[in-house]
Amino acid sequence: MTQLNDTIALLSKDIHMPRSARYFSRVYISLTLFSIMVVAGLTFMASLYQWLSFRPDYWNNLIQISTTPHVSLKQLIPAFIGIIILFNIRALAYPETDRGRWHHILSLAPIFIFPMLFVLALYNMELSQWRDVIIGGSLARCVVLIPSLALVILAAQIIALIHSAPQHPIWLGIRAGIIAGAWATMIYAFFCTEDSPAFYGLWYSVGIMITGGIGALAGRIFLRW
Amino acid sequence: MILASVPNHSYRYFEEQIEDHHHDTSNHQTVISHFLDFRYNGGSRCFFFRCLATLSHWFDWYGMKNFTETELSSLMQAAIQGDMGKYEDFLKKAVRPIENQITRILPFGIAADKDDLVQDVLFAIHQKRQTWRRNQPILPWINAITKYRTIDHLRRLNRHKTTSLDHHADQLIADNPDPIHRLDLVKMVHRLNGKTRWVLQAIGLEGKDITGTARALNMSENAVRIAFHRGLKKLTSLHQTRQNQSKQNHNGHTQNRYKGNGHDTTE
Repeated sequence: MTQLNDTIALLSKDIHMPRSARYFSRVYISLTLFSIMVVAGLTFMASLYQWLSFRPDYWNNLIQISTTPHVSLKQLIPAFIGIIILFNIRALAYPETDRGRWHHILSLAPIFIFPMLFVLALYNMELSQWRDVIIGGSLARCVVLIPSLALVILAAQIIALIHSAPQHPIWLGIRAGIIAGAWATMIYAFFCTEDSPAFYGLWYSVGIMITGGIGALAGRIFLRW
Repeated sequence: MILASVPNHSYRYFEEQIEDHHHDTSNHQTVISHFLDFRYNGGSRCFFFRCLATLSHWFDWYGMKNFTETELSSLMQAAIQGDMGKYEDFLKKAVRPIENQITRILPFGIAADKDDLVQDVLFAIHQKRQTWRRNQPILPWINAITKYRTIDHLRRLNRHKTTSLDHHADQLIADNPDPIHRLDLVKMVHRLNGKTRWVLQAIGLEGKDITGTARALNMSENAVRIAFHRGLKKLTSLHQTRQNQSKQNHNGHTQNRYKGNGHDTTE
């Protein structure tokens, strides 16, 4: 008990109180939005230097493109995933929020929209067409670029979440990774000319899940306390 | 109900009631509920006495829980305003709910680690105090941090486990358990280097305040605070390293006693 009293006396001298929980939640939102803008800016600059080419039909015929379902879904679905999963992340950053494994799994259900589109698209195609559509013309670029762009957004989220105290750091990291992957996918879709759901339904979800895996690792390393 | 300081005997009936309703226990029981417990545990199966005992425990629980919650919450609010004395009171009063939560979670037989675990939880509460939302109750927050640290502790134990019977036998026989197991603030502070050590020595061991330390060490107050924060973080990691080392030393000691064909070589 003497040692406990010594420890308490030592801790009580460090009375400087950090900022409130609400402040850190605002920091998280601000950093995430800022990093999304940074990634959008970087890709825009890359297109100016011809490293990435912006879709020409977006410049020429935005209204027609945006009303074409299989093209507009490439941006709408990742944005939807990014917003839905963002809602619950704030509660998970506090220690008294303790959800079970199934709650975590079910709350990540939106990421299965892309695979469902993939399956539906294949169902409506002939078997001979599957290989060409799935491989497409930019498979490697897609799988590499989405996680690469997402790393910036993920890093910003992890920096903000370091002040949190989650009961399950790995699940929080997975959510942060999926949010990062979703927004990176949305930005990448401006440069992706593959419009078949059989392509983007599979490879966009692979890119998002790879980022979710990186987020899990980051959560295990940086969010443990 | 009159409060009386009655030693907290581990009444199985009382603890089961508490576990079922996720209460925070206290070391105080009313005289009447103590008597009713005795009547119940004394073998009386009288339905009337059982009902009275249950009602009494409910009142005890409700009164104690509300009292603890209000008190801790107001102490923490005052600490946020900068009152060092209130923060120290808060930490002292938080020890009881922490110990009760640990008792609920830890399996029987690891009570020897309880003090280290309580210190670990206090460090965690200190590091993560910004995660308490002022419009939320404080006891669930304390219990959640305690649960997280306790499960972490169990995971560390699992990684370095031996056969349970040998471990318990060693604990019973040993007169002086591994000295590294004891948290020695002075030695740990002396293991640090540079400004961090001077600052922790001045504030933690010599009892100086931030201003006095800054003047004595010719540093700014902000620099002293930063060095103090860093020192506390290093102390936490040193403390955890020592806990891991002590577990490994216990396991090494246990395994070395039984060599070759399994006979105890110490005899």
